[in-house]
Amino acid sequence: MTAGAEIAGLCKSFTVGDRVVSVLDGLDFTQRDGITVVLGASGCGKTTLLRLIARMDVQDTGSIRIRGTGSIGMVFQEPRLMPWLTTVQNIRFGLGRGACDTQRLLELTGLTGFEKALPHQLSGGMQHRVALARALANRPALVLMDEPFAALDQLTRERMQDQLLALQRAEGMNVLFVTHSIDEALYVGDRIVVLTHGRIDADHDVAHVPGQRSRAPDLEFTRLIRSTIQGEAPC
Amino acid sequence: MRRFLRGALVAVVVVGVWWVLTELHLWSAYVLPTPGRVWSSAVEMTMSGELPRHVVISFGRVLIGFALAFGLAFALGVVALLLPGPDGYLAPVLSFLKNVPPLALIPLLILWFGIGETAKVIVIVLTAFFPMYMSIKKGFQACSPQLLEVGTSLHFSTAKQFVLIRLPNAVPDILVGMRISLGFAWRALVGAEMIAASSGLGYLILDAQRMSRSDKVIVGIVTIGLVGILCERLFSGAVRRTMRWGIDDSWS
Ligand SMILES: Nc1ncnc2c1ncn2[C@@H]1O[C@H](COP(=O)(O)OP(=O)(O)O)[C@@H](O)[C@H]1O
Ligand SMILES: [Mg+2]
Repeated sequence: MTAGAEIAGLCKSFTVGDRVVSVLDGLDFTQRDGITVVLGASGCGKTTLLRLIARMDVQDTGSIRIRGTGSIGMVFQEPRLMPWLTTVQNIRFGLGRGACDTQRLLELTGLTGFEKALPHQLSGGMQHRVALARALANRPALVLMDEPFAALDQLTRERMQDQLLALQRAEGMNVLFVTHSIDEALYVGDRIVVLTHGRIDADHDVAHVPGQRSRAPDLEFTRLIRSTIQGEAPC
Repeated sequence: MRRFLRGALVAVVVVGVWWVLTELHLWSAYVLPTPGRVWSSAVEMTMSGELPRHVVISFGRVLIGFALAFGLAFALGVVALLLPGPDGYLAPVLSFLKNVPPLALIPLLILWFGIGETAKVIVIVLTAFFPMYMSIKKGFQACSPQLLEVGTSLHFSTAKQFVLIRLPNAVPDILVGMRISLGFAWRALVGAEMIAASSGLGYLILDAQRMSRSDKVIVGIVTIGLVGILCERLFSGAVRRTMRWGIDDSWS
């Protein structure tokens, strides 16, 4: 198996005022190849989990191991492009003099012709594609995506989902994709795990679920997932 | 071009009213010299090289003071950001100096440095420093946490974070501070030269007053205003031409 997160007993809490809020509470998870979707209601700790995996924050207890070699790419909910850099410079941001096939990334993300544009000259969807290309620039073995398309309109979002699937096929990296949308989870995921009450609660291999990768997902399965998320009190 | 024409129209009206007033002979020619008199003085001072010489000297002083102030403001802005400890001691000093008009320091500066260039450059530095310092500090500190997090996710060091994210992100703020400071520096210079100089536009005005040449005083004032406008225009123009982002309408 290639790169992926292996998490055991992960706990993380925040102090808000004089209250300690436990967000992740003994989370266990082993990533497999392909696109794994972490599904959960807003505020249940999805971003916290990704930040811990990316080492942007430190857990209270528990272990996070990144299996395999290679770097980790990160895609945030907002594009977070540097407003003073062009498309190409944004894609290469942080690479230094490192080699990177910018031309290929531009083609893969459909940004050819916009090499010299600044972020404010791009549409929302294009900005997201630049962010995606930036995350892929140093050929990461693992890409973490935090509700990357949540802010987009439905048509653009669907195009971006297709783009992601094509990119994943072309590049072969593993993806940990966070979303609160069941439809999106079913469309992009090879595997769906549900995060509730600080743990992974359900684990579905969706490769053989009827309606996977379809815009009209299987109602039965949607209902099943919905009940997993809603079965517990909203967090 | 429209703006230039409007400016020219205002100038024509002002000179016209001025001319009518002098024709009415309400005041003596010493209190209000005629436009014609001022114009011929201006031509004469330009031909003799007197006026250009003072302009060049004053302009040089502003450039030196402005450059020093920028270096200082930038360095202390970095200190304020990266070394909160030392900045705690610096802040009261700066806030004291900010509230003392630099001109009030002139007696001491003359005592310590004589009436050479040093005293005047210090006055300019002190005046130009604060607007730049405030906006550089704001630019550094107001960087969006979301952009900074991109650096964190790439495991940037603090230095790399600063050079690749904070600094470029602060450029629009820094430019605004520079523009304000440039105007401050130019005005402070004239004040400084009126007190402790034997050259420059401020000296020119004061010297003309001593000689009871109000026409030359007016030439000095108009030159100061025009050179100030020219500086501001050149700076704004350069910024507009080079900056492709983060520039608002106030730069047009
Ligand atoms: N830095 C922080 N300080 C305090 N509370 C936080 C912090 N980060 C996250 N939280 C809290 O942790 C919970 C989970 O947040 P988050 O991981 O962002 O949820 P999600 O991404 O699933 O919407 C929320 O209740 C949030 O308020
Ligand atoms: Mg989130």
